[in-house]
Amino acid sequence: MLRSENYVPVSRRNVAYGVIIVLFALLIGKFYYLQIYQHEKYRERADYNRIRLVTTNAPRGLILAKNGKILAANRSEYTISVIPVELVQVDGVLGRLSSYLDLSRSDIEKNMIKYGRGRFLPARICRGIPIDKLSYIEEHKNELPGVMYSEFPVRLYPDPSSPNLTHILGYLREIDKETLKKMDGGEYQLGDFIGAQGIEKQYELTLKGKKGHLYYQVDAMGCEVGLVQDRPPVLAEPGENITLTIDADLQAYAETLLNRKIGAVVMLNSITGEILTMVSKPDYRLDNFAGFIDTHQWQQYLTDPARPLLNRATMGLYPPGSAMKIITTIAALENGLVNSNWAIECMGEYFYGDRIFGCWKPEGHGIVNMDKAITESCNIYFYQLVQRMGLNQWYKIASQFGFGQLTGVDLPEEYSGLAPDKEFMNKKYGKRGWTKGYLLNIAIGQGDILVTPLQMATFAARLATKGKVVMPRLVSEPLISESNRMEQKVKLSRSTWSTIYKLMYKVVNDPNGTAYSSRVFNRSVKFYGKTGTAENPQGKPHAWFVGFANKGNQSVSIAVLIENGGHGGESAAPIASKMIQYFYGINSEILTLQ
Amino acid sequence: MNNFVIKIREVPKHWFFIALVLTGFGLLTLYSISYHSETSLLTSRFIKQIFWLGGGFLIFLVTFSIPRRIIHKYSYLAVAVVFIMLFLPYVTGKIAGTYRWIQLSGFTIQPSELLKWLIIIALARYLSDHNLQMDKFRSTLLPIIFVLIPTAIVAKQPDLGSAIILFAPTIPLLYWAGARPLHIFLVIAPVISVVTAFNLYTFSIWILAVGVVLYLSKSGIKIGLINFFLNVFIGLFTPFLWNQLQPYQKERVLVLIDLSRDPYGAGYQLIQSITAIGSGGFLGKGFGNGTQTHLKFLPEQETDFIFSVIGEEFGFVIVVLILILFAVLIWKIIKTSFVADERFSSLVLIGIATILLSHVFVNVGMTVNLLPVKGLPLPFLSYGGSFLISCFAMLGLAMNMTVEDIE
Repeated sequence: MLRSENYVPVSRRNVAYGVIIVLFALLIGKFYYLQIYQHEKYRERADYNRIRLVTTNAPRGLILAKNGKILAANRSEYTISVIPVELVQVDGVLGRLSSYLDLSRSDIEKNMIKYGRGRFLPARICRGIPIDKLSYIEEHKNELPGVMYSEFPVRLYPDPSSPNLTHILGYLREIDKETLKKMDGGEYQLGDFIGAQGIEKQYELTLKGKKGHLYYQVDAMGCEVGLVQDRPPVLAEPGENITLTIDADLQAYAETLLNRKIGAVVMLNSITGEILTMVSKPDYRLDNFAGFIDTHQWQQYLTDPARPLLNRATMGLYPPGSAMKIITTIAALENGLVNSNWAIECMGEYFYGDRIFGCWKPEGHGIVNMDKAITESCNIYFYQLVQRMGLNQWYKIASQFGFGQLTGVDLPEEYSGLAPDKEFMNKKYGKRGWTKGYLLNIAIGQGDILVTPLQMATFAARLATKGKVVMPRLVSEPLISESNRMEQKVKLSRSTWSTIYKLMYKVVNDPNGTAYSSRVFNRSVKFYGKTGTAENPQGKPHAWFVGFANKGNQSVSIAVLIENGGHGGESAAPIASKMIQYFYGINSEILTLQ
Repeated sequence: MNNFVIKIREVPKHWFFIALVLTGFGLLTLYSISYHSETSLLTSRFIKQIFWLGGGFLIFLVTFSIPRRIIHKYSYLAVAVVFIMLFLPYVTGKIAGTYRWIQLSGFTIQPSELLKWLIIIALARYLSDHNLQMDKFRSTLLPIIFVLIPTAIVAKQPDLGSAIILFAPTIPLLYWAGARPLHIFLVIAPVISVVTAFNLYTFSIWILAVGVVLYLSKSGIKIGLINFFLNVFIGLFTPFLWNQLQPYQKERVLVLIDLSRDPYGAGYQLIQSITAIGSGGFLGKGFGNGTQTHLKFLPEQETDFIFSVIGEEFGFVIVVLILILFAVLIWKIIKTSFVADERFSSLVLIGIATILLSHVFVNVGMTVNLLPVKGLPLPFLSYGGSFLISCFAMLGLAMNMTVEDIE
């Protein structure tokens, strides 16, 4: 029954009130005793009760070349930090510190704000302390309560004669407040280094290691009095080492071949996709970026018109030029549009609508069949050939060979380039805005088509293996997870393969071939290729060479790009040839004797 | 809906505002704790607690607006259901080494948190429905046995803190319903006999006290002698029984009593807590400046020891303010309970007052070493989803009891 009446005697209510008064009086009394009466005692105790948490930074994992040569190691730098809450006499300490370090007081205070992480955590005020200053500070430790120093591992590139590998290894960047906010801290702290490019960025988690920490008991004056007993130190764990697929000698050789040029070279093992060489010029020594980056130098690199920070091998987008004629040829053969005997007459010019398209040879090639068209790289042949072709027939082959897609290389920086299909052209020019005339350009690798040197090398590798699709890699197993492997194959008819092989062999080995002067004088090495000369509105054309060389069951593929290098046969093919000879150990002196 | 508006008009709204101010102090403290932490504020407990507070408001609306007769009608059923839920953790598995929580996809439920105030409602119904003659000893003993069953189960989870809170309102409810103080004394006496039996000196004093009380109560020679010798016998038998136990069995009992045994020794937490509070002084060290808190000397600073953080950073003034707010809230609930027309409402109110009072006294008393550490959170202030929601549920229930049911 909800309605039963309530009756409580006043005495019982008063007992309840009494209990409340007594209990709360007890509590308040105890607080009065602790916070007012014994305040001094506990304030002192709290002052002595201080632990300083010191994090120790883990050295990053080493980066090694294929043959075990150390490309990136570590050295120690010393930094000085202050803990704001422990700066008992701010003026005295900062003044002394300023004179010991030859650092102005305002700089110290600026850094305290810049690297400040709250009153209880150390803020870095100075870095790269030479050992003599450090020992001086250690001797005067007692005058500097709240000041501490710590070791900071930074990158060291031990061998000055080793290749630059600038864009492959990549540089490290200091984490600032903005970045820290964006990535939500995690294990990183303000002022830590993080991979900003290349392998350092791609394999950051593997390389970075794990921080350790120590607890120091600190007295009321902010001086360390020893480790805290019941909190054992945790040692920093160095990062894991990474071995690249890069052949250090070959890489160094390629870098010297490209000296003072602007361009890129990529050479890979056609069968495994391992990248043996990847050069992008201009580059710079990473030593300049080993520790704390000099902002002045950084600005210089940023504003340099030659863009030394750009990895041209994976991010440089260029029209492929005549090298693309191979794709056009394959598309024609696979679709049965022509047979290899089909011929045209090249007069040096071709009229399409109201426009004139020229051949690179103004006087013309005369009667041109497929052999001659590829070997001597006649444009007119392809202008006529592509008339028989739909854009999507061309696109299908181009995309099978990886154009317009990322290669999937294990670098954080890569562009997919551009290979147009109908849909793309309709979108860009409108359904009726483009005609077959656009195809003329595409057939010879000009116009709406852009490729990276890495894509070209991958293209060559797929030709070399007759269609095996491998992903170019800088780090081989076991770091790569199985799911990343593709098991596809480009399927072309046997006759197409043999025609393409024959043609590419002639480019290098036929006296009329555009790369004849770059042939290899060794019977056991079969060198195939195609030159390219990509028109460039800004100046001299870009020179291309793409090819592969087989010896026994070995095969390497190569792509060479020289910006404004002129003819591919003149400036790109010789570099490729030298690389192939270096790789197969063919004595280049024989070449010079010839 | 109209009824709801009338209900809101009549209800003592300042109870809610007191609760809000207390929750605000809790949030402020959680914010200070997360202030220097390296992790982002977004994932901090401060933000999570705000999220829970939303849940608290929702539950408050529910417990506040359910008609009283519905609460009365289904109280037994609710207790039965939640009582069965106490066994579910034995099916879903241990969490953090205990059977306190039921794991449901993604989140956990602590049945004892619900049972705490459902038992009060059921007891209130029992004591108001049956025209019990409260001067009979049986009327005092039966409800106690009824509550002891779930209490024992919760204590065995093990969760001694919750078990104490589960049982705590029973005696005040009986007292409020008119039970004779002597009967209450007779029920409690054997427990005290067991506890005091380990020291001859305290036991002698205790037995003397029992004798005096029995003599003064004039309860008759027979009952007096039976009870006196019962306590003497229990007291003498206890050490004997204790010595029969195997060491691991003894350890189990000791762990039950002192759950907070930690690697640094049980005293560590207390010393740090007292140092934090004492060093706070009259005005505190200031927001975000507590060295004990931010250098992580203070353990469990977001939950059990949140009041130590307040003591360190905000000082004596705010400590007293918060304690007075609690005292006023509890006082008002008791006052309303005293003038209530219905016995059911009156008893529910006194039960809720008891729960709040025991939480506050045990928690705050623990931070200043007035009581042994028991791991009870502070209402409205401590971090924790279930508990915050439970507190607002009780507040809604209490406010629901202050107004007449509108039929």
